[in-house]
Amino acid sequence: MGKLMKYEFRKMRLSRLIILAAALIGEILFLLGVSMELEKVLAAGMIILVLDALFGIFYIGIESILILSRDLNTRQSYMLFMMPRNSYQIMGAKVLSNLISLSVAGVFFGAMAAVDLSFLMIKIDGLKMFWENVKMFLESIFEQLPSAADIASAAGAGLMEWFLTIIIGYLAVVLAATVLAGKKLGGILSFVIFLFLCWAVSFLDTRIVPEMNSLSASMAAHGAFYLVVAILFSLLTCWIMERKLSV
Amino acid sequence: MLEFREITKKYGSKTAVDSVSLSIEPGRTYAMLGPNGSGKTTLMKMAVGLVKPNSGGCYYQGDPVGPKSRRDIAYMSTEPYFYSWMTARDIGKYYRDFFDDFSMEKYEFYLERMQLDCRQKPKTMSSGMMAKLKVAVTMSRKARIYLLDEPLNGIDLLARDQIMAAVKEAASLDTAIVLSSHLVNELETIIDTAFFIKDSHLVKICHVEQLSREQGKTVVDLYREIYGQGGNTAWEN
Repeated sequence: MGKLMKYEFRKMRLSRLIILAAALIGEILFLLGVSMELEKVLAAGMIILVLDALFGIFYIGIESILILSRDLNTRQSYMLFMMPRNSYQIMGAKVLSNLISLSVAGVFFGAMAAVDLSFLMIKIDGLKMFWENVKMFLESIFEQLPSAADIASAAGAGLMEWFLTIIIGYLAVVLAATVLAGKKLGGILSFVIFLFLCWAVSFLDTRIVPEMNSLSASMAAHGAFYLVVAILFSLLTCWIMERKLSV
Repeated sequence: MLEFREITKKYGSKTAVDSVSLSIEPGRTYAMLGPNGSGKTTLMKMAVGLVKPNSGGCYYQGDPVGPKSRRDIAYMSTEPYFYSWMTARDIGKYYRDFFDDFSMEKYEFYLERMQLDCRQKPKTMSSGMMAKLKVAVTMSRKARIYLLDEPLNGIDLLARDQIMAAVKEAASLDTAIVLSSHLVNELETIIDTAFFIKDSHLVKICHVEQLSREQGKTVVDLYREIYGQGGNTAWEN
């Protein structure tokens, strides 16, 4: 499966490089703005970094669904399905490379935000005071201010939810290429199935996952739920491919 | 070695392959003949598991074809199928990564002989160059069975010679080669057996030597009889 993953990463190399390049530009502007106290440059850097993080993580998922669709519906499918590998290995490589990409992007942007904010606090005197005011404002709204662990676990749960959405997208694409192939409105039906499954998972999440006594524990439970459901949907997708897929 | 048993494939209401049974044995070179749309490509795709049959099955060494049999069966599709971002060299590396029987040296030899640039991307190649590249990468494997779908389509005479030379070199006692084509003249000199496919059915299997010895006919004569005027004759295998 390692070799399949190598080529999955290769297929997405260009977009990763663009996301990384945008992050580097944002970071350079940010550092310039902080060190030379140029407010507009600092703001531009921060905006680029925030947008790049949000758009990058979103695009990583969307692109992997588009690649799967191409791998099933164009002649390049032979490059995968002519090889001595089964559907579990082929889909497994896609799922794992996507999970790794999302996790690396999450950790990368999270670490960058932590380092940049710390740097900002040290460098700009007035900012510490500003942060204290923000904290007081948040404390007046929330009973307890979220800790770093709370924020990290919420971000992790968010990533897992997005990962699950992508896996449901994979399932919809595979359904369109197999059991719904050649059927009138097959594409629309697979999209409706995608929307329904997203709603159903969210509904089950609120019913099944118990609320914990801390925010981080709750978020971890939700994240684990999303991961388990994603694994189950991945296995279902592989099972359908193995039995029904003709390319 | 490779056996189709009562295999049928339908696409919606259209039957592409209808209850075909045949077997491929080592040490022989076969031609799968028939006009466009007769079912040759679907049959080959089912032999490597790219297309799932509606009924019947395809078996390699007694087991249903699948990922394991693809280690021994080299298939060349008639359509271009390489990733657009790959160069000819990348394609060789890709095959080397997945097939233990792939020889990079042999591939480089074929690229040189067929005057293909290993740095060129397939998307910038002409149809003739693409056909040669597909043959080069497929024949660089030491497979037990080669399935070549329309390897001579859309290419000039010299390129055809190069492709036929590569096919002849791959022929051995433990190897079977199946070529699908409607260019019967080109194949007649190298094949042992011909399968005639018509309207999704296998209508005739003929052994070239036997046909010549017993009936004084060539495969081209038989092709004309089956597909030309008067081709509505009911043939038996």
